Amino acid sequence: MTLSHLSEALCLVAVGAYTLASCVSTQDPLRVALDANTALVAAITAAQDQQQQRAVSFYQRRAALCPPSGAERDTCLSDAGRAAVLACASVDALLSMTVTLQQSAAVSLDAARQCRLDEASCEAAMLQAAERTLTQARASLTRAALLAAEEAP
Amino acid sequence: MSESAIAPDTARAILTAALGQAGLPPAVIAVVAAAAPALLEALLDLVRRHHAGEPLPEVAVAKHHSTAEQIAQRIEEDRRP
Repeated sequence: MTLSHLSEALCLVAVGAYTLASCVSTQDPLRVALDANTALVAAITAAQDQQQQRAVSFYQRRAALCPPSGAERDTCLSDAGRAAVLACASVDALLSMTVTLQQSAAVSLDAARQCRLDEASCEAAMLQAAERTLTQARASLTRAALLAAEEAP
Repeated sequence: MSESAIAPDTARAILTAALGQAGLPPAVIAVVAAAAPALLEALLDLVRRHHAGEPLPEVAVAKHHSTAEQIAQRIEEDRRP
C-alpha cells in the first residue's frame, strides 16, 4: 500500500465512493511525466509560433521599404527575407534543439508506456531517461525564450 | 489479507480520525470503525482498480516549425503581382 492510495481511500471515506474521481489524484510518475510532456509540447508550439511571428514582422518591416515593382523589388524582398532569417537564427537554433530533445524524450516515454502495458521491468529506467531529457528540453526552451526576449528583432 | 493489509488497530485509528475530520457523528464513527480493516481494504481495492482501469495518456510529440520556410512563403506571396 502506498501513502497515495491510503490518502485516496481516506478521501473516499470522507466524501463517499460515488465521488471517486474527485478523490483520486495522479501520483503515478509515468502519468505525471506524460502530462508534463504534453504541457511542454504545448509550450514549444507556442514558442515556435511566436518566433515565426517575430520573423515575419521583421521581414514585413524590411519589405515595406522595397520598391513596388520591378527586378529590384525581387532582390529587395530576398534581402529582407535573408535578414529576417539571420536575425532569428540563434533563437531558431535553440528552438530546433528543444524540439529534438522533446522528441527524444517522447521516444523514452513511449518505451516506458509500452513497458507498463507489457508489465515489463524496464519502465523505471525508461522513465528516468525520459525525465532527464525532458529536463534538458525545458532548460533549452527557457534559454530560447530568454534569448528571444533579449534579441527581439 | 493482501500484502498491503493494514493492522486492525491502525485501520480503526485512521478511519476514526478521518471520519472525525469529516464531521460525522460519533455514533456513526463507532459503527464504521468497528468494520475498519475490511472497509479500508475494500476502499483501497477500489482505488487500485480505478487506477488500473485508466488508460495512459498518449505521448505528445513536438513538430519543427521552420522560420525560413515561413519567410520564403511570404516572399513568394509578396512577389505575386
